[in-house]
Amino acid sequence: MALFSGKSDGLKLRNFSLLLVVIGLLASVFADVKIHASEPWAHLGTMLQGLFSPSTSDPQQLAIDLFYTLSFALLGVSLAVVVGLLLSLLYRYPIVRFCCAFFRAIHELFWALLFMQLFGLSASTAVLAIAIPYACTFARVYHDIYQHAPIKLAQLPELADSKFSHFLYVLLPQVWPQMRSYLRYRFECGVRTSAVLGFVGLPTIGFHLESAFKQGDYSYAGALLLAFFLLIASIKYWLKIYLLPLYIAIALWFLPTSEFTNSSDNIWRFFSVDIWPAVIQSGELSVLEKLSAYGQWLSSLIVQQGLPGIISTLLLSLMALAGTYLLCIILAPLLSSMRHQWLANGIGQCLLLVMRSTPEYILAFVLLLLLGPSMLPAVIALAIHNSGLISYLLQRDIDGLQLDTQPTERGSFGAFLYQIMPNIYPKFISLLMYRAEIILRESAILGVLGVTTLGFYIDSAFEDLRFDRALALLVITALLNVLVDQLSRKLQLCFNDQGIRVRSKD
Amino acid sequence: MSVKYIRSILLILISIFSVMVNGASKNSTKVLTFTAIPDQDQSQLRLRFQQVADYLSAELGVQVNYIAVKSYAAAIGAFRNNQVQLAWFGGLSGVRARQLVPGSRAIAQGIEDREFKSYFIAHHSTGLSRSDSFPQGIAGKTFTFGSKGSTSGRLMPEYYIRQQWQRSPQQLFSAVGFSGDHSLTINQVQAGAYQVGAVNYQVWQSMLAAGKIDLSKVSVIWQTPQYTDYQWSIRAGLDSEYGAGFSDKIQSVLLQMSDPQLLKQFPRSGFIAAANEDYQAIKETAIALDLLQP
Repeated sequence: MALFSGKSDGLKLRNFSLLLVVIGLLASVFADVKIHASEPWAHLGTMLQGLFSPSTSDPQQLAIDLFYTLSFALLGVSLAVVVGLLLSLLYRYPIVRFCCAFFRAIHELFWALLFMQLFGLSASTAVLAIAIPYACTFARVYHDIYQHAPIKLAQLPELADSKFSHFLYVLLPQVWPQMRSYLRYRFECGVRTSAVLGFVGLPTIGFHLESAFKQGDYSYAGALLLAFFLLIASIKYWLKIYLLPLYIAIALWFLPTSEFTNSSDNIWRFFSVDIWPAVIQSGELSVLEKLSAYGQWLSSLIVQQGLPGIISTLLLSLMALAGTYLLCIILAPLLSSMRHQWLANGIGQCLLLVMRSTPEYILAFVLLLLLGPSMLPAVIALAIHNSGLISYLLQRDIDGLQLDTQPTERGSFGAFLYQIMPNIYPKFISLLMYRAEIILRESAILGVLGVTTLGFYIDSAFEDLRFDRALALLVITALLNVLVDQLSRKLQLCFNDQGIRVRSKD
Repeated sequence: MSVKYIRSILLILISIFSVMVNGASKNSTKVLTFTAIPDQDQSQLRLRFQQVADYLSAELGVQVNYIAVKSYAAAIGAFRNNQVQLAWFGGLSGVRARQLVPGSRAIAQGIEDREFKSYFIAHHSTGLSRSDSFPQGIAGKTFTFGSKGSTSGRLMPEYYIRQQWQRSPQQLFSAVGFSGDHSLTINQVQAGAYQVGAVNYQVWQSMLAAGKIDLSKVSVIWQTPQYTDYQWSIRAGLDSEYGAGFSDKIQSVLLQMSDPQLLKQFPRSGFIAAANEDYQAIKETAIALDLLQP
């Protein structure tokens, strides 16, 4: 690509960053980002008052919610890491890569809605909804990590015949620390995902959080959020890999027994009847006629919902991506200057914790009150959440940097510009590209704002019990993600000699 | 070695998974389970309907449980999959559920449900005031429905909007939202987040009585013509499971409910008999709006 063929690495990165922002701005021209004047102050006042005076009448329920949230996350992520590890060894096959990108693309909430039709509101629904997309993510990231191992198979011809030995004795020891660190991070994500699953009725903390926000019971919402933040902040103190078997055993033992389970007849009915449109279900049609009827049905669905959905999803994602980029650029020097003073550093860490842990849905809900319905609250909510996450991950990288403090004053803005920024920028862009896929998925769940993304139509289809539509739209969403994934791989490969994390090359 | 290793991992996984998948287990003692659509104040649902469950248990001589659900679709799904045998549905959700369960029928409705209506409410900044004819001034404003599957918060308001302009709400309004439930619709219009909204008139009146509505901020600008709404629906085959005449017994127990404390939970002044045919108009409207397959 001509744009990225500049001579220096810095130029390429600069051009790329500019492109990102310009595209985001362009998208905002075509999208609805109007601010609707409102009078939110009275309501916001009550909200803030409630959130800052957290209270709960039922601490026992709160403890149970937290426990289930953790249990689902632990089981889901543990299952995912085992499956993901196996898949990562096969990731070089295009079909595995395609399937992973495909399944990753579907938001956990939609997995949960799908599995709810099969297993009811049970623990299996929650665990599988986390495990499937996470396994696909593990596969990709672990594969990327293998690619970076300093000693490659080619350097050890004597092991060429035994790939397994090579993996066990050469590869694993090199990459284990990175894999472990990623697993730890993924647990945190798992807890957040598990909480969000409560929005569709699973018994995690999101269940009561959503209700509390909807009903304006903000003290309770404050208590739930506070407990949730503390839970996430405490993960690093108790999550030890060697204790995992113990935790898993406890989680399995105390799993909730569900009031809603499903019989095998219902599961069969889902696959044989529910997911097919009525037009192809009359018995007299031949296979060909069925195919053409399905084709017609599908094309009208694509015209009515698919295309408008794809357009708004892409517009929203591009704006959110640009917003995330800008917010990160603002946050980075701020956080960096706060690092050398313990109180300021603590505040910075808390800010990041709140930013990355508050579910986007809740952020969007608050922003909707302020800004009125348009894409703007969705863009800001996504930007806040994702920049919180990226900044958190970058902080860990900065900690790992070995800086010689010679020419500039420690902790100054100059030091940041001179030493830190150049060091972390490539990693930052790489993380941003990685989040692009996630932003695309997350844009799906903001239908409450009346933003007609693909997720809005999928949610409507589930609400109307039109599983035929839901499934077709989910496939469209997944294919879109595969496409975007391919594109972002191509972009990244342009950078691969500059020390940016290389995507799996074949 | 590697094959063995993988196989043992798979075995462990399968055994873990089979523990988790708790298949449909029928209890030996017969339990009747019911649910209700979460149309307002979800935190109060269990409080409201547990009393109803206790009443039904006492009157029917069978243990009756109430299960809370998070969405209209979940209520319909539970009814369809025989996880609940009895449900307090809205007009649209009832039509949908009974279409999916052959032989199921509507047995009772609230007295108010024969003459149900929706209110269109507007934030004071719009300058709209109450009128007897359809409020033409709402075009171009931001508009919020309730839940996507609600009769009074979605189906009927959308029907009257389309009837007036022959256009979809998305074409007509500058933004269309789905707040999720009626209390939230009122709160969002009151805060000005949306300029206009459509809401269940019962929920409006009970929130007004509870002092949760500031009339200087939000007011009713129009009420829709009357339609039939909420009803109790039961699945087919209860008689063979619980004994002959059991469905009729449920119906008469519901119709006899007279304790004001119980009726307040719906809120209705009493129950009268209903039949599937009462909801034919709702069904046709839903089909016309592509919210139901013929």
